[in-house]
Order: sequence, then C-alpha cells, then structure tokens
Amino acid sequence: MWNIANQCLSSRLLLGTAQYPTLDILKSAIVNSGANIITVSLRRQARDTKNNRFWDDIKQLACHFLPNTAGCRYADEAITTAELAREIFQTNWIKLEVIGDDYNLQPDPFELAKAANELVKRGFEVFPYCTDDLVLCQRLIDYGCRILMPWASPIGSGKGIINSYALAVLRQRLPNITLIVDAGIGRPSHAVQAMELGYDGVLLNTAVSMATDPVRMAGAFRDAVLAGRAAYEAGMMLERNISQPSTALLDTLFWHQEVQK
Amino acid sequence: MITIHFNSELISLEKSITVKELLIEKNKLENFFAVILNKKFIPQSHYTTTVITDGDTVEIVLPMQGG
Repeated sequence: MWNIANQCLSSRLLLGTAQYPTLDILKSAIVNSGANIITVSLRRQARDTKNNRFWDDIKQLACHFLPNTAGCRYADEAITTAELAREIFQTNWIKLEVIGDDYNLQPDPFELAKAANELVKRGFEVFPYCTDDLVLCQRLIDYGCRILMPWASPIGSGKGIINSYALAVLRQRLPNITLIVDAGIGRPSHAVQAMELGYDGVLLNTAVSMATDPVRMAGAFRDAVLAGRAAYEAGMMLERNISQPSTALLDTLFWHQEVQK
Repeated sequence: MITIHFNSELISLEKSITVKELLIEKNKLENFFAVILNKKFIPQSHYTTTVITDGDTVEIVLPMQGG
C-alpha cells in the first residue's frame, strides 16, 4: 500500500482510458492492470448526443478518476478545464497538461507553472505533467504541488526513458515529493526501469491501448511495476567494472593455487 | 427573440432565460456534465442566477476517455 494525495492505494500503476479498440476491452484492461487511478478527459457535447456509455460504464469501476486538461495551451484554458472537471468528476485532482509544442507535445513550462500556482490556490491537488527539468520541478513544488509527473519521452512515442540521468537526479533531489513517470512508456521494461529509479508510480496509456492484446499487456505492466518497486525496496547491487566469481573458488575441485599468484 | 449558440448549433429563444431554464428546455438535467458560457465555467450553484442573452455561446461538457 502507498499514499498519494491523501489516498491509500494498492497499485502504483496509473492507467489512461483513451484509444482502446472497444469499451469492453478498456474495462477488462483496467481490471487486469489492477490500477486504482484512471485518467479521464472532457469533451464538448455533440449534437443530439443522449447517451454517454463510456461514463455510464466507467463510473461503475472502483477507481479514482484523474481528469486531465488535454488540449490546453494556455494557463487560463487549463484553469477553466480544471474547474469543469472538478464539477463533473467531483474530485479536486487534476492532471495538469499545458502543451507548448505540437510536434512532441512537450509541456510549456511557463504556462504550466502559472496554471499550477493558481490551481493550488483554488484548492486543487495538481498532478502536473512536466519535463524532467529540475528547476521547473522545484518551481512547481514552490507553488504547492506535492506530486510531479515528469515525462520519460514524448507522449505516445513509446521510446521509454530517454534521460535516465535527469530522472535519477529528480528522485535524488526531491526525496519527499511523489514522483510519477508520465508519458513515453512503451514496454513493461521501461516501467521497471522507472520504478527501479525509485519513482512512486508510472502513468501510461498508449503502451496498453495500442498493444495487440491490451488486456494481457495491462497485466504485464501490473507485474512490471510490482517488480520494479520490489527491486528498488530490496536494494540493488552496485554495478562493477570487473568480474567477480559468484562461486567461492577456494577448495573447488580443480582450483590451482598458482592461479592466485 | 434572441439567438444563441448551443453546442455549436444556432437556436432561437423567445427571451433571455437562465442557464437552469435552458437546461430544462434541452432536457439536460442528469448529473455528470458542466456548462461553459462564453468560454467561462458556470458552476452549478449559479445556474439559476446566470442569464443567457442574445449572441451568447453555451456549451455542455461531458466526460470522455483520456490519457
């Protein structure tokens, strides 16, 4: 069990709900992932739309909802979206996305910090999607963020952790902040790597939704996050440049004393 | 008679009405939606006091899938 935003949860995997082949596959993937937090979004109502099967079904799951501000480019847009989300989903949690570049969907650090500052004042628990820039992360903390979600690589790229040094520095320098790797995770091994760095959780979507078998992949990520966290807590050996025999050689059958000279 | 944009559709109303009255007219009374008036969020607690006037843009926002 672990704590995030005053909630005690069992899973450190946060799962997105977009781009699944069907709603049934989405629901099965969520269940198989074991995720306690799922991300959701907002849309304008289309003409003559009466039903919203997605929401009718998804609200039955015993998950916490983390609404996002996808599509926002400026702080004021993100703040309005957060207010809308708080009313609809009845939560003060907000995954704050303020995009600064259309090519790689990189967060705009200036608008992000501005929005975070205002949203914290308005009582939101802000989960900012940010880059791995230490100074930006420190600024977000100064503004009251208790959780940071630096990217591994651009959204939906599946490239995994591009700058493991920067993520390791964040972990080392911000030991009391909840850190979640968000965006760019493509394989379970990437999730393991993030968790081995000491990250508190991993948020992903495309790696599961675009898998050939999303339900099975959700299970693979569930296990990967568990394995990575267990490894971190168990304490991994230090890497060495020279080989060391794992079996003690003294008194083995063909051990030659002269080899030691 | 006034004209407003409601969910990207141009509609006519006999007179200015409140957000609450518009929602009743459009059968939009269930939970899990929010209202934007001229790009500004209108909290539920303001539905009965916020008046829609000629040329306003009203949009209903719903939950959807997101990453």
